[in-house]
Amino acid sequence: MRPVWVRLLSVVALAWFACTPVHATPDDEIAFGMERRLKAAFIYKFAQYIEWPADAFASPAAPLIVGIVGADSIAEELQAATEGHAVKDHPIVVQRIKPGASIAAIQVLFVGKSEAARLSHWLNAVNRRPVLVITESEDALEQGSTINFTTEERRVRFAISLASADRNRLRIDSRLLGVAQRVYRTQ
Amino acid sequence: MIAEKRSSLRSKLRSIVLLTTFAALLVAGGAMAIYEAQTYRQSGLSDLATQAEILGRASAVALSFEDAPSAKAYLSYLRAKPGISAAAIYNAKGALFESYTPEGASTEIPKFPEADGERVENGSLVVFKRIVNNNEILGTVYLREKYELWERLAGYLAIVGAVMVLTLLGVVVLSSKLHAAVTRQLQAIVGVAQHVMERRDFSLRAKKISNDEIGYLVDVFNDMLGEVGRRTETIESANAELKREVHERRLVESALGTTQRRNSMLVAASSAVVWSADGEGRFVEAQSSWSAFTGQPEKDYRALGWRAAFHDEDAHVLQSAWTSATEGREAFSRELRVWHNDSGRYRYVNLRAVPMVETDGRISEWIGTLTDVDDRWQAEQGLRELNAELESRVAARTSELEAANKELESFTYSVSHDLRAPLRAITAFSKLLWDGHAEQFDAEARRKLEIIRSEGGRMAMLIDDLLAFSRLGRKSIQKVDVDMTQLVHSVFERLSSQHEGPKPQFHMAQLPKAHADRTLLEQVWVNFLSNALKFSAKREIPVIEVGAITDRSEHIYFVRDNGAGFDSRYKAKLFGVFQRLHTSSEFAGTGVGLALVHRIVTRHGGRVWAEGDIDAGAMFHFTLPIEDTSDGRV
Repeated sequence: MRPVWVRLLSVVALAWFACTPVHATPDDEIAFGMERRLKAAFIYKFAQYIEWPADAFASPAAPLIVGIVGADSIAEELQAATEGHAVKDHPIVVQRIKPGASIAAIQVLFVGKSEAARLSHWLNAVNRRPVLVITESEDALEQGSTINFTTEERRVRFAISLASADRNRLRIDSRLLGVAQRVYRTQ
Repeated sequence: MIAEKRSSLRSKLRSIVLLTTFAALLVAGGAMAIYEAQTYRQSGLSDLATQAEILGRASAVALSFEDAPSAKAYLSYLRAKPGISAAAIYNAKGALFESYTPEGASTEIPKFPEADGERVENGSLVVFKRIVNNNEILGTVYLREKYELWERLAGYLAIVGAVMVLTLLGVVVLSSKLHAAVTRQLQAIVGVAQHVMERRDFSLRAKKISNDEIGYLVDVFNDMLGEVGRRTETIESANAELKREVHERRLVESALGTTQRRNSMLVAASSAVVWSADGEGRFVEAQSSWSAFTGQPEKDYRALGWRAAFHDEDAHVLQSAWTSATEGREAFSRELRVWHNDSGRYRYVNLRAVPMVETDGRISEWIGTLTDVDDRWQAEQGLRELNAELESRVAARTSELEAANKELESFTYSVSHDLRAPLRAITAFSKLLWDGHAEQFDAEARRKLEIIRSEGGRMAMLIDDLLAFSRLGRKSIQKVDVDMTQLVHSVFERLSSQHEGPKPQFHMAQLPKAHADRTLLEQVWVNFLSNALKFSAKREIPVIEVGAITDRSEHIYFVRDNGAGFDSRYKAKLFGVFQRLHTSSEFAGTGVGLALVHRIVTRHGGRVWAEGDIDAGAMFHFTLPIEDTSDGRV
């Protein structure tokens, strides 16, 4: 356990350094890197507040597969941060999804900024299956994403669409709703 | 005094109750205060820890997603609890993430979180609580709350104090009511006790109100009063009795004094000798009358010296009488010889001694008398000597008579016996003379010869009778049951058949049976009946009657005839030997028959007597004692 803690702490520390305004640096490169790490940490933490329907997993110990599209840096960060971690007995597995690849077995799909234009395609691919769709582009929620990262005063925030979660038969912990920047209950 | 005691008892009871209650309340209040303080601290810390936990859990998401406003909002909820003086959330790195202080307060927030734990610090409860979610430490919650123990305790103690005051007031009210219940009973007892003391009236009783120990006390008190009453009564009656007895005793003592004076005067005045001795028989006082009688001076009769006055031969009699009287504690009297000074010899006196026996059996004193019985003694002695002489003279005379009698009898027998031989010779030769020579004699000679012969025959009869009589003295009596009626009948038949002369009238009643010698009895009847026949033969019509009367102890048989009778002056002589009241020419007979009858009847234990007068007939009686023959006793 201890090594997991240590690693997690390092991730959190990084995230903290990244987001603390006091220590924020105007350097965009640095800010960008930090933003990626922070989002990776958030993706992992989101999974802890989401409840999938039982048919989302093949078995109670089946891995929770996080598919990353168009955000390799985040995929890297997440990979490093969640190595050996599990959410509700589901070990976390990070997959980089290439355009055109199947997303049949995944439970979380992160669509990066670079794939924002093809979002609808990914949403169609999800097709109301119990998949948590996370995006980082404007109007993503309107298109059908469940959680969408925003940046506010240089801080990473997020909004949630309950309608989208409902559609994909996901239940979101109200505590998560409590820290969301905005929660959309209808389309 | 009593009222004072009573009130002090009441106040003591009240103090006891109050002190007990106060102590109990104090201990209870103190214990509860301590418990309260402990509880307050424990629950305060535990509440605070719980609050920290809740806050931690609530702000876990905010920490996770770096949502400081959200965390602040959570912290601001603490406004609802004014006791919180400071609160803060630190992130996983230990940096302050968000803090809270109530408005107007300026509490310093620690820069860094401490380890998990709760403690009391500077009048505050301080809690640090790690926030852990999904096994990750997300941060730390810090809470500081005012620890108002003393304010809390002060309030608590105020309540306890108020409760104590109220309780004690209640106790005072209640106890005075309860005391009334207790003391009412006691007052009743005290009241009765006072009355008893003042009036000495033991009939008073306290009223029993309750059934508890005091009720029991009332019962005991009443019983005690009853007992005291009874005792007092007993003592008073005993006192009265004692007074009466003392009075009686005084009377008796004065009477005794009088009696004693009278006694001593009597003793002094009496000519008789009165003496007194101590328990051991020693003369210890002056005995004037003793001295006067015996001539013993006081020095001689002192102690046991008085005994020397008695005759030496009587000394042991006196000693043994004295010893047995001492052992038996009883009076005694003895006739003894004592020296009489005036007459210069020993005189017989009756010495009488009476012991005074105490209740414990001890003899305290002897009192006695000497009575001169010498004259009587001498008279009695003469009489005794005379009697003895007389008796010996009678005995000598009797034996002389018996010897003479014996001699006479043997003489008579031998004479009679010896006379028969010459008589036989006379009669035999007279007959030979008559037979062989009768024609040779003239008439005169033959007449004289005839007289010799008849007188010789008579003499032979006389000798036979005498022999029979004397033989009777020697013969033993063979007693059998005798049918007297039958016996008399046969005898009369036999006699009357030989009798010449007119046939007599014979009347005989049924005679009682007798137990006697049949042969001798037959001789009695032969004599009586032949006499009757003989003496009545000259009557034209002789009458002979035989009968019997039976009284308690004897049968009385009698024979009566209407014959010649006899001169009653000589009836005592009838039964002597050879005593005849008629000439043998008038009536034949030897004069031995009635003597024989007398002897036979006497030897059977009976009596015989005759009644009659000249020419008036005779009546002969004899008795035989009634003997019980059924069991063969004689």
